[in-house]
Amino acid sequence: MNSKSIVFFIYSFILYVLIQVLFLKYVDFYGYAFCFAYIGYLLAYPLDFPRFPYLLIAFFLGITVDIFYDSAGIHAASCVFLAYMRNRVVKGFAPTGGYETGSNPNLLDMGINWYITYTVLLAFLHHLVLFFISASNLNLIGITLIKTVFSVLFTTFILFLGQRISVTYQQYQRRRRR
Amino acid sequence: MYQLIQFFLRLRIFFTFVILEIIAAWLIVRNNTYQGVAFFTSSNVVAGVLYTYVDGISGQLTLRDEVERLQKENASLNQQLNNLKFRKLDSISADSTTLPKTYKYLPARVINNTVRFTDNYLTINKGKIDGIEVGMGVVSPEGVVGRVRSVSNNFATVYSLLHSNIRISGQLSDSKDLCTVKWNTEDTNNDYRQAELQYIPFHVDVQEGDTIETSGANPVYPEGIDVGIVESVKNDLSEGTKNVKINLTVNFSNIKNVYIIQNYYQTEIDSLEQNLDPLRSK
Repeated sequence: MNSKSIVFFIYSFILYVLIQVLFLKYVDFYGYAFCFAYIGYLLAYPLDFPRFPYLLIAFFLGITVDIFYDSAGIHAASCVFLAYMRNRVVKGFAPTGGYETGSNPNLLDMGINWYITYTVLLAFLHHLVLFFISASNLNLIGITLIKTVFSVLFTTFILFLGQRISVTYQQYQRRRRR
Repeated sequence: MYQLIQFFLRLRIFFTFVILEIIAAWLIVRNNTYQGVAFFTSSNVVAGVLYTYVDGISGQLTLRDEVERLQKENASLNQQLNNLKFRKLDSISADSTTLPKTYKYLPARVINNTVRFTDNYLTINKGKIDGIEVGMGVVSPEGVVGRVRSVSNNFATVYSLLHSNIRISGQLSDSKDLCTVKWNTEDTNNDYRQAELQYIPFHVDVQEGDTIETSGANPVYPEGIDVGIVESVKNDLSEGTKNVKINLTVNFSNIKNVYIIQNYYQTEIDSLEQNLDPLRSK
């Protein structure tokens, strides 16, 4: 990892957090579907990078979002859970022959089927932990599950939209270079 | 020894995971039990300043409504003042003017507010420097809003009435029967416009359209501040209580100007009530 990519890592961290707490925090569908697209930052972490810093980054991202949501610890717990579970989940639907080294878990490298499965599964794990901790009441289990499912769909939709835009942009750049 | 180190090295990811989750759990528990810890809340400096900037932009959009609402409040206050002046002329004796004042209102602006979560908070732009303390009541011109949770130098976080830990001691404005207002019960699921009255026995006469106000039993709010208007009444035979739904008078989705209520006798009342506790436990 060179210094340029470290700067990029930090910039995109700030960008994801700002978009989450300034815009997406206030977006919801009738209190049933929320968008936590900041997990896109964790999903974009390369698959073959070390896992120890990954867990720390996840914790730090969660705490930062928690500060703005006034929910000390809830987002941190679910982000760390996501980071811990990612490699196990990803192993489950690896392409034949395993992942190529240096491939990034995004739409451009992996294709649409892989990316949607990846995002839905991990967003589901993250949101499940998030909503069950914040509900802290098993009477509301049905509502909590409904919220989780709708929020996963919403988050996946927003993340996919972002990925699609970036793919189009990269293809456009490539064409211009030719 | 070497094998032990090998063992820990192999499981280091798992141990990191467990340690981080324990830290997160500790933060969550501490957040629910201790009030007034300002660092990990939106009353810390970075979040406060950021939200102030955002409010500076988005506040312009609702300015017209806000001015109208404050004008309405001004009008009603002027009317009350006039009535008082006339009354003073004929009936009230001089010593009522020397009555000690109990409540002080500090104006503040809401710079961040949510209504859709199971625990909602507001952030206001007044803090320790302006005399805000943990536990003070927060009201808007329309009614009760919440209670101060944590304070930093320039900002404060407020438990919204839309929070699972908040109960407000209320009363029926006509009969003065006490009740408890609670948000987000099974019937009013996450609806920021409605709340429920708890522990109302059958003999209490509640009608649709009755006004619920603060009781003054809890010294945080003065008596007679609006909370809601009764929407429906049902008898719950299994619990032996009435099931009352109310519409909140405050519209939490567009709340901008609030007052923080300081009770001059809060510490005195607190220390009195603390002295009661040992007796109760015996």
